[in-house]
Amino acid sequence: MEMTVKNFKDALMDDRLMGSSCEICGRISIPPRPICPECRSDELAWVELSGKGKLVALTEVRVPLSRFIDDCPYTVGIVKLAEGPMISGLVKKGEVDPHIGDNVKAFNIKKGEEALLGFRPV
Amino acid sequence: MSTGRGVAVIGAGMTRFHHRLHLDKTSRELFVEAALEAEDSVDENFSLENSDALFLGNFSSDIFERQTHTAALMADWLGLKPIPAFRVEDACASSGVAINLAAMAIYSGVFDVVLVGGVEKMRNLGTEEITDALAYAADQEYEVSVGFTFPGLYASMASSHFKKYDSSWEELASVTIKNHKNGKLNPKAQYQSSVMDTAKRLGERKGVVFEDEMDFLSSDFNPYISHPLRLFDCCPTSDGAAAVILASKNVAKKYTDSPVYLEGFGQASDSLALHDRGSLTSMMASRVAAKKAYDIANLSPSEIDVAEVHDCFTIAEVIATEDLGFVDRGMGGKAALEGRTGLHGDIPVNPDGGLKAKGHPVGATGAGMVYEIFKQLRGESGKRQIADAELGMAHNVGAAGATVSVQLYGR
Repeated sequence: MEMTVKNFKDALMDDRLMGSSCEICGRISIPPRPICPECRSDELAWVELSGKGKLVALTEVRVPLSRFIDDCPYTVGIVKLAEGPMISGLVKKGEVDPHIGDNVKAFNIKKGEEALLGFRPV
Repeated sequence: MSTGRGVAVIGAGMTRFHHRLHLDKTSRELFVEAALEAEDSVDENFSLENSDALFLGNFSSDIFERQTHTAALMADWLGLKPIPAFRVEDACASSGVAINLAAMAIYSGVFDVVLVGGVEKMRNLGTEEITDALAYAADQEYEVSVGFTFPGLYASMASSHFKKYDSSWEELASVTIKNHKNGKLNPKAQYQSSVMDTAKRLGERKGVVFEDEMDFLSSDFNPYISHPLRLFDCCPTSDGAAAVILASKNVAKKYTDSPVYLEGFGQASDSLALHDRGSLTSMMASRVAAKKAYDIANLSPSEIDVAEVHDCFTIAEVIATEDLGFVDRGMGGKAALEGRTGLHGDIPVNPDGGLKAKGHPVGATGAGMVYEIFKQLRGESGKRQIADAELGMAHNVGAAGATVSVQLYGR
């Protein structure tokens, strides 16, 4: 399968979080890339990620993009996945407000025709 | 790299940066105003007709005015056709990059005199449309798609910085207070009032008395935009233009006895997506671009007398002062709090008020920084003059740090 944005998003729609694994240096990337950002090899394989990780940054957005007006305020964050790489996602609040360092797990948030990458506390 | 041929700034001009003043103008009128002021600022008889080329930084007249192809447009409106005209788009670093390109063109010997600048006309759109337009400079597929805005990206850097260095929002607020204090002294700044002036004005209207700046900044009068960043942690959006005239060293002597020389320059790129960076509390592109510039100029950070750094958000100035080597890692906010980056500190940062108070017409910002450095090094900065400033830096960041240009200037 080609390392395209569309294929990443289609997989997310099916509840699979995909990355690429470099067959030369072992680096895992999310989203999948055609060229390894570490060693520039083009020998990459699709790999399904666990979706588990830790919040390393987060913020509650009060002045939103126009297509998120109905969701405002909402929280977005950056998650360091168990496999190594970091990725951005919407952060769903649990019973308490999320904090840096919290363990989270990926899930997909359906928004219209799209699936957005979300994380919620575990 | 050899820079033996030498490049000098011989003139600089800018419009006032503002959110209301230019609503009845388009980018062409703004850029013409800035370019004509730059022409007039050249000491000896100089005409823009002596320019061999125009380099124009412009982020997105496409969205803001439905106008692309803006470099040729400006050349025509200045009566300069058929000179070659180049548009440069690298987000908020567009005109910093345009200046680097113009300098390279002069170093190469292709051109002797280049008009270079930038323009942005943002304020005819509403806040949401501007928020959307600016987000075009982030990674659409993987960070904007989940709801990240620019304040959101910088807020993420702030939350990481607080955690990593035990730094605080109060430190960020001291950047706000300092830059507004400086902006008060700059007749071209969008906001020419100190934070206390604003606290008094808004407080009187609502019958509230604020004890000091922090009392005001931590009140509901300063709402969160993207936690922990509040309104006064964010630069405004603005309309404006800035232009500088670069010339080869030999040609510069014809036009002025006091040119400002480009001593070194650097540029670097990084991933658009913040989550793809090795660090959320430092910009690799700033470090790489600055090192290149310091190496070419054979200078070290402690030798710089005045710095214009890209403070689109207060946290951006904090991180920049660390990345550029002016203060130790994690100490950027404390340096502002202690007055080290104030007009009379050991490394004055953003004496013109910075993006925070002077305003941020995206494509014009890098050239606006060089306008300030040109004036500072020639002792023409009035009440905000840094005494005996001989070496200055301009540091222009695109988006969340995916493009950074740095220039070092000396007199």
